[in-house]
This record gives sequence, structure tokens and C-alpha cells, in this order.
Amino acid sequence: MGSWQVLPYSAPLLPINVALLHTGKLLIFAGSGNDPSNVGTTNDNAVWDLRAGTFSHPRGPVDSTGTPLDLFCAGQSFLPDGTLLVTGGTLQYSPLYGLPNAYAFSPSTETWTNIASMNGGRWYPTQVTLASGRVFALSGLGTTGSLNIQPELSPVPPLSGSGWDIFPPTDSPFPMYAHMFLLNNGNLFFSGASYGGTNGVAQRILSVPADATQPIIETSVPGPPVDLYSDQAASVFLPPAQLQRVMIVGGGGGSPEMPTNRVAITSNLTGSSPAYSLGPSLTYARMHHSAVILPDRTIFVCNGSGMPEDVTTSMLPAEIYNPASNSWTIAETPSVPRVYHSNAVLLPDGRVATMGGNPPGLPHELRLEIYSPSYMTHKRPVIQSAPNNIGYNLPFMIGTTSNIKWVSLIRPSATTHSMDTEQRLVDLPITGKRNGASVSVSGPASGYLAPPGWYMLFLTDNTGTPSIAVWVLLS
Amino acid sequence: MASNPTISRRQALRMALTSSVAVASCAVALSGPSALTIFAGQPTPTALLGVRTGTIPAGGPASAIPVVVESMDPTTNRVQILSVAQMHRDGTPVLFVSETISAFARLTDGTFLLAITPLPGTSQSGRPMRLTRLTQSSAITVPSSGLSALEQAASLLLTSDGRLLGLVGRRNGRPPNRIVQIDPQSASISDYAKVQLPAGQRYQSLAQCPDGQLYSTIVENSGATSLVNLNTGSAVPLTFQGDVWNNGLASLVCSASNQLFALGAPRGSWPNGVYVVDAAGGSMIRIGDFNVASLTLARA
Repeated sequence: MGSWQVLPYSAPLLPINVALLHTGKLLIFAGSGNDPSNVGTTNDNAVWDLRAGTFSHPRGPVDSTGTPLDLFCAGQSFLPDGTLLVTGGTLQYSPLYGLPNAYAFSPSTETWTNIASMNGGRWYPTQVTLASGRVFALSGLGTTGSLNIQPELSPVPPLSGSGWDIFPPTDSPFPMYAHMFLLNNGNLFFSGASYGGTNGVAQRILSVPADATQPIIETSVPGPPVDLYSDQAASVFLPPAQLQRVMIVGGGGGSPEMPTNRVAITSNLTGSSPAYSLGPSLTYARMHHSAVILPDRTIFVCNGSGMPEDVTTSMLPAEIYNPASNSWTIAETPSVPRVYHSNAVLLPDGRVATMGGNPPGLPHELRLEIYSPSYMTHKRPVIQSAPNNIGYNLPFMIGTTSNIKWVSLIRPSATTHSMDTEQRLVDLPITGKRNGASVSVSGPASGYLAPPGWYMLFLTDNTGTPSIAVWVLLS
Repeated sequence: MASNPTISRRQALRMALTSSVAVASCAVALSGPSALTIFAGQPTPTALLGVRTGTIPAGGPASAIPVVVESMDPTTNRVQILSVAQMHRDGTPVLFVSETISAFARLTDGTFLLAITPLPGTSQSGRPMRLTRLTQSSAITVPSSGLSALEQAASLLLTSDGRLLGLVGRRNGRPPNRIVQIDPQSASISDYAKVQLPAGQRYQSLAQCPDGQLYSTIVENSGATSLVNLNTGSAVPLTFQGDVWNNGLASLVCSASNQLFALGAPRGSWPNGVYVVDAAGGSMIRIGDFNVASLTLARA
């Protein structure tokens, strides 16, 4: 049995965006925090040291006059050195206009730096870190409130390039916070999950040319009309990422809007005929929820509500999907209801931190709650030694005395609004001795399968119990 | 003030038609895709005019963004692109990527007037807003004077007595707001003493009807938007399909027949659309998509 624990302290701000840093701390930020009266005065962000139970407060990005550049509803993903790249944010409220600005947050110095702005504004954008380490930015509302239909590519890390390359307009008007996944052949998959509906754009694969002057080619992925339930659905790469299968869970749709318990699962998206079909349903329909990859290679779904932004229907039990059995198990019920602007993130010790919630007309939900999966009570395998740096297709050794079934890399989450383009679990093939003092494994096959950057390295023993992770830098 | 949530699309069409638009077009009014053609001439006197940014040339980092001016016939939803200059005489672009169009108007001589404001966090952000007079073949820019580095014109209005007024607020959309008088040639800006706005509320748009009524909108923190008559001080919540409109407006204009038209989109959605507004009751009826950032009237 798993268990929930409400922490004895609360978040100092509404954690609308959260990212697990390779220092083990979490960056949370809200900018103006969905409050127009904060624009230009407040740019809330904090670094949460969960081990110490403390928060520090870096100075948020500002312009040359010292005025905050509002991080509210920005996009985010990690660069190869662990820096968090953040794009867009709020230029103004009502009508909501997006900033073109981009920023880098350094986990080691816990400071923000302004980098070259994008060519267009983006409010509710999507970011995906590519194998090259460059970041692909898509969608979001522009500086005058129109949908930005010209994707961009960031400068080459460490961001010393001259600026962002810009693509021709996409054929489809990709929605805000469109859930995108980097596939093993370099293409991107749009799962259909998004914020506020898909603009009629169903699931599809995008072929992104290296040369930004060339158009992005779109190929639809056939299957049931999952895009009808796209609003704040969750979607996640099923573990391991080598399967190239994505699951889309729940989400809102219809008029009046209602969440669904539908689940869709794709076939191998890099196979000859990618498609998707309906999978086993959730027990509880929900939207505004999170789907978190656990190191035992299951999917933990929590948060959300049975009606849009409704805390009275949000005391839902968590549910856990096991890809091996293709089935869901109802898990324990949390104590804190969480709706819009809530998040959940896997921690290096295997627990899940849940936070946030922005119910209309009610105070921000600042309570923090931790879920401990059942494996937390088991005897855990131990990583006694591991290299700090690993490379593609390069062998390395992990010191352990346990009987190891799996070795996994999990890319840390950077999530908001049920979207997380970062998290993925990559299986590391065991190439040598499983028992005794160590196992030998091989690094990931490519940067498409595992983009360069920091990962949590987990061992899972023959009983299915994962270790506590150590951080490794893949380059 | 009582609202009128039951106003019908037929009534909306009639209101639009009474602004002397072409009756022959009514058979396709309020429906059907917009036609989009390049048009080098002058818009019809009853057309709605909008400005937006165009497609940025693909490739490396861009420096300029095309400016696109479009006209929309409110009875047919037909949209045409009007040809405008993209560069000044010295070769500098009308609009840099580090800038945004914060307001738009059409002067009596047919010249388009753009209020162009530097975006925050750019090398230009400390510069003042500028006014650019734009025709099919020329662009003339003058930096404004009389605004702080934090301010911009969020709305421009050519009044019935020939004045150019502006609604000024902070570049991040926050109050305080004030109404100013603007010299379109020199871009000199001074306070317009005839109308004083309370400091605590966020005003957003400015429109004047031929009957002399001056309108604006007030936006609450929640996004709830009200139409306010600045002559009388009375306000009425704006509604759409029975719900309070909660995302502010991009623009508000008034036709020759005293009909208010609003440009906006429901919160979090896209694209903008044109709505006819019942000034007495506050109800709005959508007449079609118009994917522009700011609206004015062909009738100067």
C-alpha cells in the first residue's frame, strides 16, 4: 500500500510551473500568479529544498528598467547542462498577450539570466528539447493575442548563438500547451492533449527540418477522435521510451465541458504504421491531472477533478497504470484537492511531490503533499557507485549487490498545466553481471531516445522495487 | 442598467445593416468562410479595418515583422488585405520584432496611424512609443513625447470634431489610465482635460459614436469586462451568450449609425472576432472571425 503525507509547511507561492533540478531541489514559479494586479510588481519563483524543508527566493527575470518580466504561464525544458530554459510568459492580462522573452535558470547558482528573445510572443507555449540540445518552441498566444503559428529553434547551447531561428507557419494551428514528444527518429509527436482544445488539430507526427527555412511536415496518426477530450488531458511516454508508445489520459471536452475517463495508447510511433487505440479506462474521469512515470515502470495519475476547476469533485483516488498488465489499479486518496494549476513530480527517492491548485474564487492551494508508492516500504536496492557522466552507446558499471532486473534513466520533470515534454524513462540494456558487486550497462543509443542532459539513474531489483536514484549527466 | 441578453442574430444583423452597408450582401451575412484577397484600393466607407502582424520570413533571427492591414465587411465577413508600405524611406522597417502595435486608427486623409511600442526586455524597451503614419506607399515615424517609458497608447480615436485622442496606460496593461490628445504629425501628447478617469480601474478601449457618446471598457482582475459611457459614467457588464465577458477587448469602435463593434476573443481562445454590442444592455453577438490585433473604421 502506498500512502500520502501532507507536509507541515506550505509553498510560498502557487507552483504553476515546477521543474526538478539536478541538484535535487525543485524550482517552482508563478510570475504574477494569475493575478493581474501583480503584473510589473511580482515575479514569484522559489527553489524548494525538500530535504531541508526550506525555500529560497531568486530574483526573477527583469528588464533593463528593473521591471519584472512575467513568468506566468511560460514554457520550460532542460538544456544539456541542466539549465532550465524558460520561454514566453505574460505581456498583459485580459486580453492575454504573450511575451517573446526567454530566460535561463541555473540550478547551480540558482539565478535567472535573460537570453536572446524569440521572434514572437508565446503565452502557454510548448517547448521540447531536441537531440541537438536546441529547444523547439511552438504555439502560444503572441504579443497581440493571436496564436503564434511559427515555431522557433533556440540558439545552440550554451545559448551563445545570435538568436532564435524561425520556421514557416505550420499547416495546422497547434493549440496552446500542445503536448509534444521527441521520437527516436528525431520527429515530434503531438498527442492531442493541450490547453483549451486542439483547434481541430488531431494527433500527428511532425518532421522538423534542421534548416528552419524549410516547412515542418505533418503526418496524422489515425485512431479514435481522442482530440475531443484534449483539454488538460495528461499524456506520457510509456516506459521504457524504447517502445515509442504514448498514453493520453482523461481530459475535458464537450459543451458544457466534462472530463472523460478515456485512455488512448499509441502503437510504436516510429514503426511503419503508427496508430492509436483506446486502452483500459480510468475509473475516475478527470482533467487538470498529472501523469508521472514511476521507477517501477508504472504510471501514477493524480490530481484533477471530475468537473472543470471544481474542488468538490477533486478528492479523487490516485490511479496507477501498469503497462505490463495493461491495467489500472486504484491507489490511495490524497488529502488535498487539486485542480487547475496543479502539478506532480517524481522525486529522486521514488516519491511523488504534488502541489498547487487554483480554484476559481478560492485561495491558491499552497499545501504540499507527498505520495509514497508501496515500494517505499520495501527493502530497496542500493546504488553503491555510478559514474557522474555517461555517454551514448558507451558502457559503464554500476556498483550494487542487489539482483537487478532493470536499469533506468528517468529525465526529470518540467511540468505545468498537465504537460510535461521532459519526463521519460529510458531502459539501459544490461550487458554484464547482474549479481554480485556490479552490473554493466550501455548508455542510450541516441540523443533522440534520450536527449542530452541530467537524468536520475534507478536500479530495479527482481522484485520490482526501485532504488533511490543517483544523478548522471548524459552527453 | 437592464441587460438585453435575448438580442438575436437577426437583430444584430439589422443593427449592422442600419449602418448603411450593402444590403445585397445580407444573404451570406454572419456565416461562411472569409474571402481573403489583396486589395490595393481604398476600403468601402462602412468597412471595419484591422491591423495585425504578418508572417515572419523563415530562417535565422528576424529583425522586422510585416504589418498587415485588412478590411472586413461586417455583413459578409469578407476580408481583404490592403496594401501598405513595409519600410520607411531610409529602408528601416515599419515594425521591428522587438516592438508591438498597441493601437490603430485611420485619419481623415485615409492614412493609417499605428502606435508602436517597444516590447519589454529588449534593447528598445526604454524607448518611447512612436507613431507611424502609413499609406500604401509610404511610412513616416515620429517618436512620441509626453509619455513615460512605461506608457503606451492602448487605443486611438479620431473624434467627430477632428481631434485625435488616445487612451494611455502602462505597457503591461495595468492602470492608471488617462485620456490624452495627440498631434498625429508631431506625436506630441498632452492630457485631455475634458475626461478624467478614476485611477483605480483599468480602462481599455475608446470609441465615440456620432451621437457624441464616448465609450470605454473597464476590466476587472477576473477579466470581467464592462462597457462604460464616459459621458454619463454609467456602466453595464458585457455579456456573450448569457455569460459575462471575461477577457477584456482588443478594440471598440462605433459606426455611423451609432452601432458599437467590439474586437476580442473569449479568455484563452483564438482568433479574435467582431461582435456587435448592445450599448444599453451590454450583450454582444459575434458576427465573424477577424484575426487582427486592433480595429478601426474606414470612415474617418
